[in-house]
Amino acid sequence: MTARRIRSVLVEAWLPVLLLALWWFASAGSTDLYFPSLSAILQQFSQDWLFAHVGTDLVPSLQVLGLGYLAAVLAGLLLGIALGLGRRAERACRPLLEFLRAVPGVALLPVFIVLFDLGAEMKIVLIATGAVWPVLLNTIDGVRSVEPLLLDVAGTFRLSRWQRLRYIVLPSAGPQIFAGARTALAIAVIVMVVGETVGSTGGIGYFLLNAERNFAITSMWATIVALGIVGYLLNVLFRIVEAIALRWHRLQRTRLQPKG
Amino acid sequence: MMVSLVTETVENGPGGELEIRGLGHRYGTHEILTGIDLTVRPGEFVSLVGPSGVGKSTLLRCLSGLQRPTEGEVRYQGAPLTEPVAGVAVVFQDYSRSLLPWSSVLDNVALPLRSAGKSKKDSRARARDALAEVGLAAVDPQAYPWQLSGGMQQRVAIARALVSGPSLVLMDEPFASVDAQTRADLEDLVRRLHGELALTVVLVTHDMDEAVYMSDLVVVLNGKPATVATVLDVDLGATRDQVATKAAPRFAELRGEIYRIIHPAGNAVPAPS
Repeated sequence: MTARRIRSVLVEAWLPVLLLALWWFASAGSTDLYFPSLSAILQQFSQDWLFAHVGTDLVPSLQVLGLGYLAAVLAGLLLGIALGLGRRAERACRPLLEFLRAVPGVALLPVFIVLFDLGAEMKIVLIATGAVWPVLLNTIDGVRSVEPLLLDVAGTFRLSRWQRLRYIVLPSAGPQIFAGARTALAIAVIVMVVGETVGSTGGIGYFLLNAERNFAITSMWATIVALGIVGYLLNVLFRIVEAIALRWHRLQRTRLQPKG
Repeated sequence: MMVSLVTETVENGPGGELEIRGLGHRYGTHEILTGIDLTVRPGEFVSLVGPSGVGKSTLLRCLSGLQRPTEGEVRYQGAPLTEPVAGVAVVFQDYSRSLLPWSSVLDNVALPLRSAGKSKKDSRARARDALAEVGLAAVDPQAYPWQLSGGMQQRVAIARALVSGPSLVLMDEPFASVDAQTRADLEDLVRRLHGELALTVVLVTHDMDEAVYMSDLVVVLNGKPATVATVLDVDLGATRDQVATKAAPRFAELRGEIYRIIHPAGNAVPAPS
């Protein structure tokens, strides 16, 4: 680790560390039922989530999240490419898309409960329908805003449709697609938790609701901490994938010195 | 009779690498080009010059098959050209937009071969040769094009155009976005490649010096809608030199002729009174 790297970690870390320290000391010795001390929360956290309930409650939630998110990204990507390339189809579908997008994802919960019961399928479909929109709309925009000169280049070198998509359209739309996928990830986590608190008999969201209902307030806080950590780690994972896939874009933005 | 007919055909017909017959183009009701006839012979270096906005680039798009002219036709090696064909490559003006920013220099150059169905390995090997041909042997092939200087980027674009061994190269103001010294280097590079690879080249430029310096034939477009005002044979010999050629009296005469066609009224600036 270079000195520069250490410094950048410090720049990011000092505020969270400070806030945690404030929380720790401000809540120390708290007897308030609703706001237990941080030390109690962390103790509960290690009891619940290191790793007693991880296999029974967290892993199933993450599986549902992963499948729902994957479905959202794939559907958004495929439909987005189709509509991005087909101008007429896109114009015809646009009002419908705007309408569907405006319907809050969780508003469909009752519908899906009726259609799928309270199983994992229901949650997967709920997550997918909630998270698909940013991927879909960003893919349409990204595909449509390809540099026209590059399409001329593709034309003169006689790239096939598939080659155009692979070498020109998709890389060009990449940054926008990833921006959509990142928003979709945040939505997917929210929809997952809401879906589990309302229509479920298991999972981390259900565990959270159950803790609150049983006045296990410390456990409730510990679960919220766990959710925060899960969300953070998912975002880190996303950034790593994005950094690899969009290496050129990151370098171009940071304007690294020429190598040649 | 038969003999003279055959000679006639060779003069004006299938002997041409590129033939333009009665070509006209309009956007809606706006007529850009009309009645353009031109034959480009194999191995010839032809420049298209004319005032800016005259339709040079539109004509080049028609020659590349990217655009179908609304009138007349273009024939390449005897066959009608209605869409981009193998054997014709294009170098665009704006290298910063015409190279793929997400692909390495090597993959940019290899793109036409990938499109022709060659394997990744073969394409890259051939792309390395093409990079060496344009004087970029020392450049890191894994660099992104935007990490290189403007002149180097245009060399990459030229390598990409040459990699699949075209017989005809169309260039749309390829040196307009680089500085003067780089421009001279690129002009000589293209002259050299034209000779070494026996290429037929059609170059669009608004620079009369460049047109005369580079070409065997200068085609002057003028008028609204534009048509061929004149075709000048550039009798400056096969070897050109940035200093000697441009200092030759004949060079000045030729560029003067072009200037007078494009600015018939004369552009003499009156002396201050």
